[in-house]
Amino acid sequence: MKVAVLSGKGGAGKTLVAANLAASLIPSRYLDCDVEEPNGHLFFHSDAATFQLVSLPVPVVDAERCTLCRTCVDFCAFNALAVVGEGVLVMESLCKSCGGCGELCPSGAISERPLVIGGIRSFDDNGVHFDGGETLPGIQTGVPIVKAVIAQAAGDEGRVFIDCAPGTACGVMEGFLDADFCVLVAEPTVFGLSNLGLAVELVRHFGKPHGVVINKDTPGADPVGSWCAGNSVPVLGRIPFDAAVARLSGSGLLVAREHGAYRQLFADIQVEIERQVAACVNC
Amino acid sequence: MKYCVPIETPDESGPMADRLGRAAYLLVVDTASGTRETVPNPGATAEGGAGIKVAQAIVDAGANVVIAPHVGEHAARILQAAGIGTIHAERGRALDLVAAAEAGELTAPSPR
Repeated sequence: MKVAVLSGKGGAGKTLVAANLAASLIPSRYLDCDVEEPNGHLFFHSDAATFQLVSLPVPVVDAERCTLCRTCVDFCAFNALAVVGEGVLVMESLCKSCGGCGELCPSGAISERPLVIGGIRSFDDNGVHFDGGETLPGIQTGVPIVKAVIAQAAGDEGRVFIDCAPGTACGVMEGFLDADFCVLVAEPTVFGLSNLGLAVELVRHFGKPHGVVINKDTPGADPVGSWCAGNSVPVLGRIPFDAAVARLSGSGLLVAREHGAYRQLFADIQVEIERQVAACVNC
Repeated sequence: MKYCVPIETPDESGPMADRLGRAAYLLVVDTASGTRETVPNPGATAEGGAGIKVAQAIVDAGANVVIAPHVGEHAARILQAAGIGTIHAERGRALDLVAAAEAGELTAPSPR
């Protein structure tokens, strides 16, 4: 079963939840799909990591064949091509690799070459298989890297936890489209609720079964819990506002590995997730 | 010498725009023939790659020198490839800046 962990904003606790779920439910797989600001590698380690490159095709223009007709320049919606003097300049960082310029070139002057945009680090750490995507600086989209990370777990019938990017943009979407369930992490504040609303809207749009984990939970006012109760969104669990969690996370340690009570808390969240998936008539 | 200055309105006597890629118009001044032309900047409405669009328009206008407050990375690459010089200016009336550049009072264009 694939579980995607997302939130409407950064810093809500996606990595905390995804990494601790993975560590509590071994054997499991953790995918870091926050490829622009990956941080899962702060909690999982190995001396035997492999690294594979992710690249995209970008156009190469053969100056001998090019007639400077501008078909490619006029076609490119991202303005990645320009005719200067006797040649065509390619702005590779703007290219979205659609291949249209090569398809349309009347003189067959455009071929493709791979442009490395990032990579995937993979290793095993105490029962957790780690695949983490990383985007090279200056690359404008990490979406192809997210797709490549997700593809690592294709056919994996075990427990897969996907740490998505923050927000609600394309990169987040690619992270959870393949998931069986979405865990939405929220802080127990009015601001947290506002961000949760964005995440709920996103997963509902795609018809994904979902539930909420409340992070930094404190007694008293509970705007997120109240909202969930009133909107038929299940609360899967609550992580207390506990200095020990902050201290361990700040040291690159997983609270589920250090404290049995937290291991149980995350195992209970997984039980609730599986119950929700089993109950979901649309799945 | 043919100069190109970004402007926000089609008014030749107006100020230089504070940006190149997203400026609404380009003022093209040919100091040899004394002709002036105002052309819409195709980069102004581009979703992305505005710098490339404006640079392509400047290349196509046959300009020798661009006067602008800032030239972005992509535009700079195209202008350089085309042998078009860039002169940095913070602000001023577009025509005054062209006159000053022509008189050698602004940073010399980078020739090729």
